[in-house]
Amino acid sequence: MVFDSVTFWLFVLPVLVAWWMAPFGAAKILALIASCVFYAWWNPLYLLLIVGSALIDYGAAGQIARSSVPRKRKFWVTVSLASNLGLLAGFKYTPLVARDLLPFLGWHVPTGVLDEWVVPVGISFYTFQTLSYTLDVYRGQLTPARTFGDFFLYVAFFPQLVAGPIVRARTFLPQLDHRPRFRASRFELGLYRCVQGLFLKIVVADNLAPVVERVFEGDIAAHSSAAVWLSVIAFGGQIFADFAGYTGIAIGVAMLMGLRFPENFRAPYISAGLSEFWTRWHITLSSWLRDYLYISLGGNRKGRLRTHVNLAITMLLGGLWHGAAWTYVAWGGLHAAGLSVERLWREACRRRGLVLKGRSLRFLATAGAMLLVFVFVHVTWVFFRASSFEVAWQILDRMLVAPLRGNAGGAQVSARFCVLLLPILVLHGVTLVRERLGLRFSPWVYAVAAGLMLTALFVVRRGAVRDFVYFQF
Amino acid sequence: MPPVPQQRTPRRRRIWTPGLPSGVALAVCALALLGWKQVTADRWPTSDLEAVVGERLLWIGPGLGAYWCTLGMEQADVVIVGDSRVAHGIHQSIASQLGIGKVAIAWGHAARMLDLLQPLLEEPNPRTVVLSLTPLGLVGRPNPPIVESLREFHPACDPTSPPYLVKQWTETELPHLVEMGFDPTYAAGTMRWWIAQHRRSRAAFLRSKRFFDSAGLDLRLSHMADRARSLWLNPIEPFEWQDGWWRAPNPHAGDAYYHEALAPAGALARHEGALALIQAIEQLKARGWEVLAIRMPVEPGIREIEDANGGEAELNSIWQATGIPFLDFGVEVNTTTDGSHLNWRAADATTRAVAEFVRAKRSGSL
Repeated sequence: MVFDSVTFWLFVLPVLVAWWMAPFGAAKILALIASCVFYAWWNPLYLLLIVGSALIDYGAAGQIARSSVPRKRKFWVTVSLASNLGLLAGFKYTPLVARDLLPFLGWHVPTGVLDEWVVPVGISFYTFQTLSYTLDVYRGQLTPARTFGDFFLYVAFFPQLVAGPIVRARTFLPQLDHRPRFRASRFELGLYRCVQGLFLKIVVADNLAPVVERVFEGDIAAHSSAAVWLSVIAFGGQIFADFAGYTGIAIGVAMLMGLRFPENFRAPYISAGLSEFWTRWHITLSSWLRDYLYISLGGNRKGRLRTHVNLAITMLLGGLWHGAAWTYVAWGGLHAAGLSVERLWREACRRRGLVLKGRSLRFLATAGAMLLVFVFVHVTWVFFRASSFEVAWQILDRMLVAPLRGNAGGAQVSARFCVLLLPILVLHGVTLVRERLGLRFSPWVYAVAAGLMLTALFVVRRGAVRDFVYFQF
Repeated sequence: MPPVPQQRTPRRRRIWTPGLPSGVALAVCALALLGWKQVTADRWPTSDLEAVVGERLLWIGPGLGAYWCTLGMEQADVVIVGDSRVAHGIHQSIASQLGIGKVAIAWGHAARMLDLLQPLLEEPNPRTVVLSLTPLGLVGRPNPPIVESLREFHPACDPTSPPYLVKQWTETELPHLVEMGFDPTYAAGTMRWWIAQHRRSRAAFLRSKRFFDSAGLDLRLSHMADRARSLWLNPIEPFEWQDGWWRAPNPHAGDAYYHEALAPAGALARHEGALALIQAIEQLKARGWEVLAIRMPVEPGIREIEDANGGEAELNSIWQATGIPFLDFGVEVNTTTDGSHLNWRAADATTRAVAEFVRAKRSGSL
């Protein structure tokens, strides 16, 4: 059951009615049951996994909160870390190890077994959520959930269960203390977010997918450099629309229930720096990595070299979190390198007192930086999307080297698909105007936008129903 | 006397007041949908068009290549035999509703029409056959490296094969093709094509694996919703945009494949192909088949290449020698997706014209 299916909305309707009509205690139980049904829809056996994981973390956090003995607290937090990371490693990274590392030891796992290997849906997301819970309790930043029911609802709450946003327990659990007040304006905003999310997924992302597949899964050498660039930019648009669409629906459904989820995207392609990009792209993951990994490693408190090393470790592991393939690690590595270079550049500018004077000069520099970040991010997307390094090199060759060789010709991809990038452009433009000029749009504008998006949902059909990109993570 | 506290009348709690923006959104949507329906009413006359999918694989074997048929040939009253132009340009379900009986479309590579006619020659019950002729189809060049590489089942045919197996296979297959006398560049291109085919089918396989495990109900409901939507609206998908608003004319007129396949050097082979086809048509007629021929519409640029070097004369010689009715659709502008395959709107009109042609033959007016 996915957000862009009819089944999901037929499922959400009675859940909403029950949530608002039943007494709050019963409503929470009903939401829990609905979440279990939602997750079991993929495979009921996965439910055992999530229940097991939640039980361990609930128990561990309870022990940590009750104890004042540092060794005991450390023991329980280690149990939680080991169980969550073990679960993640066991299910997600076994094929990678079996395919790429075991052959060095002379062990060969039959490829059929690896092809049949299925990673439980959403495992990367809920393990990070439960980890943040025990770590927050360990750090004294959170009191444990009052009941296992509340905690399990936090872990398994269906809008965010499968692909985020990664909600922290300290954001979610207090909202379960009292029934949220029903507000028509909030409900309408929730509906708007749902329509926008569906539009981004069904109309934009799924219809950009064929352009991407044509190059990434086709004969790369036969395509012109322009076609390959278009395909890569289309992928940038596809992954944004797909993931922002998904989390937008998750946030919207939560709003319909009167609950608040953190934002996950803030127009990432208008970033004027790579560090800014990571405050706009998959915000809940980047802030999770910052709070629980980068800072735990020492952050920028242990000297310049360690800062860069910590940055590299965080980004490499962040890359690996996305998928069990070395191409994701390379993607993370490239971002780490980019962040390090940006940091060095900023430090150098600060040391030498380099400040741009004049508004127009600053404007040009910002626009240039935005373009640079846009190009860098899209070049790194190649590793994110490519099924292997071989494919990634072929694509980079067509993008960057072939034009220098004077060999940029080949099959074209229809530029008409660029029209699908327009909504993304508008979305970014609106954020830019709002942030830089402080302008706010009237609700009427949003209403007209919602009407047009709804129309597009009726009118534009997708060639094939596609899974959300982030489901594989 | 202490003041008596005034008892307040309890305010009625408003549970839900639909705000203006929701109403505006719905009104905009309703108006836009009505506008869309109005605008598209004339442009797309038929909403019940099928895509070129769901066909039955007819056979695949050593040296034969793959052929498809939309319906069992034995069940059809009219069999339309041709290449991908027919597959894209004639809608079987529409043709079957036009009073000429059940229609089957059997298609494969243009140059293998003789192979496609073999099952008809073996059929005990002769009916009507419509042949879609092209000069390209007489060349007798059935994409040979691909056919040669299909002589046995190999890893690239199987989406479950890991990519390294496909790569290993191409490394052994390429020298074989070169040894067989195929042009090394063409053979290398074929290997790249196989790798790309495999990559695509494997990605689709892996993508769908998890999805289809749990999506039975989802798919059924989506299909129902899609059908309901199609009955009321004319929904579009971006693939259709390619033959829509921003289409470039004659996109493939400069395609090296056409130039190479229809070069003067191939004139003799084409002539031999025409003679073989004349013979096959005579055999079909002798067995009681009612034979008609058509030439599907293409863009002017493609037609020019095809007609050059005696292509048109060769085709004319076939219907003149056999005396079969021949319908040449000529050239069409802005109705194809790539210069030689009709878009679905043009296909609708062509299907009706072919049905009319069959009906005229049966009524004896041809």
